[in-house]
Amino acid sequence: MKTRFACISVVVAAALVGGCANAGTSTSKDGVRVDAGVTDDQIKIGLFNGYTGPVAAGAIAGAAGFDARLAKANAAGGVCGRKLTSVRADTKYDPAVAVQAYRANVKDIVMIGQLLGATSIYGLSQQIARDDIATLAATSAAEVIKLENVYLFTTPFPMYVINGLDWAKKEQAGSDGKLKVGVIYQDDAFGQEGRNAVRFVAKNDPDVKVVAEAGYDVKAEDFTAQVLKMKKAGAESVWIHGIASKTAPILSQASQLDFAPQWLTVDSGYESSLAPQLGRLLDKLHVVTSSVLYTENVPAMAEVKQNVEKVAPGTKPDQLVIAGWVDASVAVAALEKACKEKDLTQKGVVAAMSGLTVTTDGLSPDLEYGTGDADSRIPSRETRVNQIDVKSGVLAPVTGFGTTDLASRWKLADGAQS
Amino acid sequence: MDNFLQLTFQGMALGCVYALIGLGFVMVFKSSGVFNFAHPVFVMISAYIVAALVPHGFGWGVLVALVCMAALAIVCEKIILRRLAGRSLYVVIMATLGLSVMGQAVVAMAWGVNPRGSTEGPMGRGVLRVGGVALPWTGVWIITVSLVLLAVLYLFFQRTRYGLALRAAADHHEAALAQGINMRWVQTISWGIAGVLAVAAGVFLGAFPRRVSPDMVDTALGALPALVIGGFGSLAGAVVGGMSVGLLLVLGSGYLAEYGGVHVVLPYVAMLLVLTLRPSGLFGHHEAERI
Repeated sequence: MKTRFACISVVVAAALVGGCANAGTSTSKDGVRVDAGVTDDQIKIGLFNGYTGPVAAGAIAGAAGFDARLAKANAAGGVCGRKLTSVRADTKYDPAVAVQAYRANVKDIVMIGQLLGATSIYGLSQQIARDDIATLAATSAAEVIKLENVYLFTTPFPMYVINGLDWAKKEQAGSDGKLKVGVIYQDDAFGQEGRNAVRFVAKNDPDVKVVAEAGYDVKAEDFTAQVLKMKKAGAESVWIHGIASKTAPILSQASQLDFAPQWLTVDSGYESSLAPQLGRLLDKLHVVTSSVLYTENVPAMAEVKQNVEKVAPGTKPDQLVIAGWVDASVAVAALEKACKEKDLTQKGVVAAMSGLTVTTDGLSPDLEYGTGDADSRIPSRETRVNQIDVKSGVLAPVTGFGTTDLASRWKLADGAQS
Repeated sequence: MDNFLQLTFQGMALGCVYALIGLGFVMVFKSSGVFNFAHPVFVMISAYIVAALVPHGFGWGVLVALVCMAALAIVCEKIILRRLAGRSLYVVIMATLGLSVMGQAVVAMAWGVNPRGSTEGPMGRGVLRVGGVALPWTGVWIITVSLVLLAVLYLFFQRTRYGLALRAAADHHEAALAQGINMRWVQTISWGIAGVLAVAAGVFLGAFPRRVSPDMVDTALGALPALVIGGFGSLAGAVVGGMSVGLLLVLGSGYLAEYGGVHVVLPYVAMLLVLTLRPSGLFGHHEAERI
């Protein structure tokens, strides 16, 4: 009995020591403070994404872009002389699975490089705050900026709306310079953020008037009611804030009901596969984006493609590859800054995010994370407007990246107002 | 008034799709007592097959899908579910759920996870104008074909020996067996008809303005309230339930959208009401048991 008790005690003690050793802070031989996920020759970054399930294609593309950027950093010697490695955990786009993935890996990574899904992000927000681990959220939802230790690596959605409607007012308003706007939105946190941004524009710009608002359930199969509402109100431009699979039926049903306004949507509201189905209907759709296209010839693109081919040969051209690359650029910049501060602990990376500036080499607007309140952590307010090549479905920019005065004035508190 | 008529037409078109899906569930349930959770996947697979073959001709696509789905449904019944005869309901439900998961995985492997084309075919994108109401040809096709299919099913059940056998089997298994009806054959035919109905539902669910995508499984599961409203074992109930759900969803989104997402839950509210007031559904009948 005594022997058994002693054995159990040894095992428990060993487990506790092991656990503490994993999470405990130490100083490496180069004088850098390290804890979870950092050894003398390696830094591990977690990528928690839906590699299987409904967003699998995008998740895999995003991770390929991330790994490609790490490959570039590793080719230049890594960070602090350590090789950067990603640790992928499949969340199946399910918040409950994301929680499991987090728990299983948090003691073995220095930061979360990708966490997809607003629900998963909110579900994990308390643990992320408690564990003091920097988390790059794979979303453009502005609300997550308010969460402790959570950072966006793209322009938040409200800026898409504000900048987009400003462009629409200049391009699509009648002779009196006034624009009647309608908004069709997915009736959840994502869509309501877009609707609130439309309301913000109408409240602050006397030339823009919201004449109709219509929400829809994400599982809706018929949009007659929403389209009729816009038509009846005489909307000249309609902002669609939803996912791409719903943009197609909205535009299609509008055409069947003889309603042909100008349409605007966010990047997540469009995908090139809509082109064969929608054809000429796309002539009236403009898409607001915050990164360049995979097909564009910016100088950094060759480097992206070359590294993607190295780490994930055969990856199809996908916009999310670029998002993954930009995302990893933020992670690398944060780790380099933490290295300079001689603190590569999870806490050290959080500290490095404060006041961080990231150059994306023209792949997206450069990103800046302030040192003040949550509003200062809005990394960019720039977007651009694109039209669509009807044959290929590929976007073509009609403006450069830029922001408006109204977007510069927008605060997170404005997004909460409805 | 035009607004109301427009919404009513769209609601009826959507309702017909739910009715077709519901009929598929009911066919299997009546003949074998199995609630086939894999039926929505049959609907999705049908749509993918038709969408893949539309470039070679819509008719070919539908024909191939009909053959494939009838065969798939019969194979599932013969190879998997027949072997589970006598097992607990839990085992049978798990088996159909397993089939559903497998089917979704196979579609993801074969066609990927992104939306893929449409089953549009000859339905086209045009509209038929009647006064101030625009009737999309897709909707006209859906309602017309659904009515024809329902009429054919009705005649089959009422006027043919095979239909009579199916009805007898559904009413009382033991009595049907005593009359010499081959229950295995009855179940095979029922599953085959469910496969055919899945093709019709899949074609309409994936036609303009919608697209063929993995989300179709969730949409097809939207027929569940229709089944409860109409009554699980009733073919007429599936039709009335399907139409009710379609109309509630579309008219609700037209007139009640201002009150939050209340229109989304309307079918479920109706379902709860029916369960409370008439638990066997509008057209179902309560089976008395002698104890």
